[in-house]
Amino acid sequence: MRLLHGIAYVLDMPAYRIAAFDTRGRRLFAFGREGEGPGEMKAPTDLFVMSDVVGVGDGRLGRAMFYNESGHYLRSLPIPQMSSVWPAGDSAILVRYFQPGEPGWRLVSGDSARELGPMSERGAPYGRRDAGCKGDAAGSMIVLASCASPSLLISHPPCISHAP
Amino acid sequence: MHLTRAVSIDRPEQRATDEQMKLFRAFMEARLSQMPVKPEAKAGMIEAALKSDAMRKDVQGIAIDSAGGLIGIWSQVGDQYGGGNASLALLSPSGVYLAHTTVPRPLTAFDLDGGRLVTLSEDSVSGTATLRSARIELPEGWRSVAVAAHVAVKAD
Repeated sequence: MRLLHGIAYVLDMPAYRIAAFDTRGRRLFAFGREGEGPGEMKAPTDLFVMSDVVGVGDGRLGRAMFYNESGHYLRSLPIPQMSSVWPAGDSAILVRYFQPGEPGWRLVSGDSARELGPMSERGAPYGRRDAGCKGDAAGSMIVLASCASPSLLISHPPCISHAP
Repeated sequence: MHLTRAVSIDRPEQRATDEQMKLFRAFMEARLSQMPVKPEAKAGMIEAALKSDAMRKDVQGIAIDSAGGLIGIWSQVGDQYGGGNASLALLSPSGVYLAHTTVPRPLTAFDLDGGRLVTLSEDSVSGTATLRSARIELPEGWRSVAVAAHVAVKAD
């Protein structure tokens, strides 16, 4: 569940859709459906919001999909081998990959999946069970690594503010 | 990637109790019973899981209020250990601890936006999901203080 401008978006994974509610719990609308076409989902896992869009990551389809606040499909971003995805500022996303032998995390442009910068081992929770990551309005990024000794990693990647 | 600050969340090791390990074993057995796993392999998988998961991981999620930068950390014992009530810690944008509140139910999700805390919970029997929201009242100048003892979370 993620909030954007007073609307709570809830990912209903079994139904392959995102339902929108006001903060009183009243259902407003829903969007998305099962399939492989534009805006459709096969295995949606990660719901996220950016400045004015709602996004969902689908590892089986290897892409992130973006909708406007009313639920109208906007575009998708192919990210092969993605495991999880989080927003990092208003124009970048943090991607975790399945691939063995590859860097586990990459910071990429939300428009083109172009890699924006390397993720240092200190800055990304390699090998740890991550719990969350979200960019704030100032373009900073915070990663929470959930492990036996949880820590909050507060990062300000300069590439985020320069992303197209 | 420039790390500005790393904040260790100070808490003792969250080692599972014997009772929680029993629940975890039952959880694993139920899960494996739904998978095409040979019986002789199940015992080994369960023992391996028990060994590696003896250390509970209770931090479930993070949220950041885009309007003010307030950080929320959601902690809850995982379902595999029997679940339980949730707790939320609030931190300043630079990671300074501000307040803590206990939510008298397990959550499935939460988020912060515009000074509002919204939680999602699900009835384990009926499956009915409930959305609740609360206002977070912060004192004037809260960003500049290290400890704010008067942060209040009030139900709408």
